[in-house]
Amino acid sequence: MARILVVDDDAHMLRVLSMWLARNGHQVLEASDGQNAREILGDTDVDLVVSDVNMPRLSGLELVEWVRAELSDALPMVVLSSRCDQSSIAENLKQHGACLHPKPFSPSRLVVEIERLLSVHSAG
Amino acid sequence: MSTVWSRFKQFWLAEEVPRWMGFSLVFLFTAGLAAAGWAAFLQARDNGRRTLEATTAHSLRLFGQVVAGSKDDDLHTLQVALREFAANFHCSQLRVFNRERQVVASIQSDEIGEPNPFDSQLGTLFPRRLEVLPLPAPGDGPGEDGGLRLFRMPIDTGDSVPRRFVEGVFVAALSRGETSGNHAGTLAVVLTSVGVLLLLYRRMRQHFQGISRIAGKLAADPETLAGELESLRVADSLGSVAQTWNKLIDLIEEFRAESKRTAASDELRRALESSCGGTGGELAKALNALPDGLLYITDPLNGPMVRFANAMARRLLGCDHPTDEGHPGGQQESEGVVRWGPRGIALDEVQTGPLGKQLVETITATRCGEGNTAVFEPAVRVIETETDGSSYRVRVLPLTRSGGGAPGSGGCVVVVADVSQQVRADRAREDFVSQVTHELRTPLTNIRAYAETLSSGMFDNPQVITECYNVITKETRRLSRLIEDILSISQMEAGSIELVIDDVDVRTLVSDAVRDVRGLADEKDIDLQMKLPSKLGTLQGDRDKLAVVLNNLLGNALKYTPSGGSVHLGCTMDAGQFTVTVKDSGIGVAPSDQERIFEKFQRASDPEVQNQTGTGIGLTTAREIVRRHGGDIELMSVKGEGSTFVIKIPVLSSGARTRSAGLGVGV
Repeated sequence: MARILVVDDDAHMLRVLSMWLARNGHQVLEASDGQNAREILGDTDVDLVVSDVNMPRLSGLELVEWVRAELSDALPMVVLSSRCDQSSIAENLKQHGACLHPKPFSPSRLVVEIERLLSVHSAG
Repeated sequence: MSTVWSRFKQFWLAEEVPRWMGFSLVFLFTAGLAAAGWAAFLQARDNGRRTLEATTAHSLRLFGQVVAGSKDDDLHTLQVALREFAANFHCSQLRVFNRERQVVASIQSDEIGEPNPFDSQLGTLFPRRLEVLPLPAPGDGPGEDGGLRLFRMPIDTGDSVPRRFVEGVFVAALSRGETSGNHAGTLAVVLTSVGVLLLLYRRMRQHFQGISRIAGKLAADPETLAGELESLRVADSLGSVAQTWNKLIDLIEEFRAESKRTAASDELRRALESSCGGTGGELAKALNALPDGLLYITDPLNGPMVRFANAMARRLLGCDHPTDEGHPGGQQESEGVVRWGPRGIALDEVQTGPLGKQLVETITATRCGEGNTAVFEPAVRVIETETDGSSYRVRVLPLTRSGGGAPGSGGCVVVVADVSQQVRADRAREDFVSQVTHELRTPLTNIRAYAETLSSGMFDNPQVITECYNVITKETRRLSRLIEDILSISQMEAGSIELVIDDVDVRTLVSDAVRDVRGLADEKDIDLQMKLPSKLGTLQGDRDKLAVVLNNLLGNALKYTPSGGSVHLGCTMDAGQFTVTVKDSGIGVAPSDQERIFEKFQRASDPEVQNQTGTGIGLTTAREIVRRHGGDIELMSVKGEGSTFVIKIPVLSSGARTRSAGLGVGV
């Protein structure tokens, strides 16, 4: 079981991700935007972060940059994006050791990807 | 003597006034002023004394008349009169004597019968008229005047020879307060004068320094005026003369740049005209009338030469001037300007404006190779100006040398077109596509995720299943609304939007719009208020489209107002006009964005807006609909403080609206 932080300004998206992750036996924390996520990460240790890109106050990309600069180099991060410029975002995320998952996505596949990242992280 | 004279002359005619001389002048002037002040003070003191003596004497005469009128034996009255006088005029001693010089009456009653105490000092003559004598005080040294005065005056008693005289002593000095007041006054005058003088000196010094510096620079090299003017500038801090001089230099430099431009333009115009059969040639007129810039460039061995440029090209290069053909003012021959050789102007010499520089660089970059083998290559480049963001497409069309040779060896024709609008439109379209993609993907993502949740069979809780269906339904609706929005924009563009005119009950229209967004306001904890007057009539218009307008404005207000803020809707209907005001306490719109946000696919450049989802069509649709109703939307906003959108629609009779809507359709 891992503790996973899910960040999205869309309440439906938060809900469905939480359902799937909880169903797979994980403990899920929810944040409505990057700023909110930053506050939670300051107080709590998590094993993985799943975040949207376009959000008010603090975007997903800014959140990744903040985590890498202030918190941890190793924390696995998955970023979900529905933007057009996927390749440039992917390049940016790669530099920060985070991976991009384009929207729309299949929840079951996302869960598989998250499990893989968690096992790699725990092995490392 | 002659050396002193020559040294004085040398000193007097010196260009720079030495500092010590300035200070000496100030010192001398101040000393003179102080001396004058002191003299004035002394004069005033003497005058004061004289006045006092005169007043006293006058009073004495009056007093004499009083005494003369009194009876010999009425010593008491005499005594009282003496005391009163003595008190009024600060007499330290005051006595009345008979011809035997014995005291008849005195302010000190024990002196009666005594001889005159001053006889030994001043003699024993009986006074014939009023005499005022200085009386040395016991402490005074020789020549000192302590201001002590003795006066004597016969008393006219009506006898042929006066029998009595009065004698008194008083101090004819000004009071201490008066004297020190005068001292302070003199000092203030002196100090103020010194201050004013110092200020004047300071001011004049700057002027003198400025002028002498300018004169020095001019004298150093009299030829500089014809060449580079930069060396003639002086420091602005040297005063107004120096600043004016520098401004003059600015003007001359501007004038020179202008005449250089004029020269280039004249040359290019003449070249064009002579290539096209002389001034006023039809081909020249046709080329000058082109909306695109056209340059003909040949490529002689020593570098590309601009042989001619049409009016637009000259304007774009920045070497245009108002007397060019096609401008008011007609043509004008400029005399005395720099002329280039008969083969045209070297390409790198026509860099006059910032855009001209960019153009020349772009054209030069398409020239490959060196010397004899250099050729122009065909190219199409878009350049953007840094100043106003305009874009120009530069097309380089190579020419082959007339005697044969490689393509591009004979120079080129360059066509420059203003494509700013096209570039802006392309960019807006790109932004729109990326926005729409994001907008479409967001509901699609939810639909897909919830659909898979249903189909996976992993979630069998009936509540979850209902929720999944609800979300899918809601997101499908959102998708179709978005598609409708995009369609309505396309329809508007095609001019085929049609209004379905009907009687619209304003109260219902507004209340419904507010009710529709109430949930969103509660979700964000925004104070959403509606204020409607008791009397609201009906309006001729398209109910559904007007509802879209209100929904878009209220939706925006709620979207860009942070939690805890407020959105107020007000409404009036009078003088044939229906007005709705939507006021929020949100992020506001910067002045530079206030017109832009009404254009389609355009959103404010504010990062707070960019982070929110939106396609930039809501306000465009709203304004278009309101305009079709004969009204307009106004925006008043202060960045960071909130925005107020005001919709104004004229209330027309039904027939009128139908007619105007019919015209607006433009089928």
